[in-house]
Amino acid sequence: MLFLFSNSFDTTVDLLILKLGGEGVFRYNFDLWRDYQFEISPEGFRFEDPAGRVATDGNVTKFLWRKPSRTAEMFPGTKLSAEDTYSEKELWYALCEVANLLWARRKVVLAEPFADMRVGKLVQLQAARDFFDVPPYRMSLGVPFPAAGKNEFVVKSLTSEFVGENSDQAMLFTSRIDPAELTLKAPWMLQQYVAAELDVTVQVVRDRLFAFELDRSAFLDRTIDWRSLGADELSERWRPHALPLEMQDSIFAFMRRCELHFGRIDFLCGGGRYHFLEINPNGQWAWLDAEGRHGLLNKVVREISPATPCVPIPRRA
Amino acid sequence: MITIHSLLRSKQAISRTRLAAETGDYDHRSMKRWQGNDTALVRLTMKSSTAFDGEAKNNEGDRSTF
Repeated sequence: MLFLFSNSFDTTVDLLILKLGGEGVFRYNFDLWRDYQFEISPEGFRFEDPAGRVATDGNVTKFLWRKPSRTAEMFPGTKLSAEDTYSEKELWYALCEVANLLWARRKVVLAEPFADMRVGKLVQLQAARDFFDVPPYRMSLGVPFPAAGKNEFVVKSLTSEFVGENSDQAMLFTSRIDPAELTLKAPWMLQQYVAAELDVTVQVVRDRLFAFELDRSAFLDRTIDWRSLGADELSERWRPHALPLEMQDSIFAFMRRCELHFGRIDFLCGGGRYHFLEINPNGQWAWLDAEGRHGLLNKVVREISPATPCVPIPRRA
Repeated sequence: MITIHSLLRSKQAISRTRLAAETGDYDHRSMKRWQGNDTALVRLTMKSSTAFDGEAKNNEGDRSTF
């Protein structure tokens, strides 16, 4: 049985279940934790959903960490009672332990839980320097910036945290700036601006790469960060991208260095050169191939299917 | 001086109210909220600018709490 750990608004999982069929799949949505029965004891764990499906130590053969989220993360501003807040934290702890148990038993596939705690943006950038062109960067607080031309650098967010009490979804997207104008009282992640014609994103699914490109001329007059545009504006514009063989080799080598089986790597491509930006070890990918025309959706389905052999992610010490 | 506040921009995203309205309630029997075959909505909600995907946030499953 495949155990999917996510939330009930995760339509990627909806799509995966549509492709997999419900047989042999157990979906646990953390936002609906009140709906499930759960116990863990020396004999193992047992989950039961309202439809009567049961997942246990014995029948789970694969585990996929998708997008489990707690109430505070999914619905900022929601007031939970003190007891519900406590209950959610207790349950979250227990569910994370289930993931750890299954990880130790080599049943976790593709996405590494908490990968950002191990291979965050700054660690990625360090590792990437051995394989790709990496625009110079600096994360700093209080240290004066060296003189630079206006718009020669961008600021970006490491966390993409929302700012503001009501979580009205204001956030810091990548923006061109003059470093001399930045206040030194705030932490800034700076990176040299790259003039590029294409955004290239490469989804790694263990032993396969799926590359897509986006022509930046469609939005450069408004933003340099395609993520800041409306969800419906650009998703249709991504096209498959032919990666040179040496890039493919570099990407696989980088993934081995990072000990990751899964992740979406963002590059800027200009003048025939690829500039590494980041890897999101559990990023979204399904919007690139929602209809399954490019092989990506089917590859993920094959990897997580309870009917195929389990190729687990590396086990942590 | 540029501050964090001066660089903030609203995130264009689908509201959970709209998503719930278009997909319906979560159905435990089918293990899906979205019951249709039109992937336009799926594409829309999967893209990284949506509110539910966690794509942009690095703190999913914040380990510091356990």
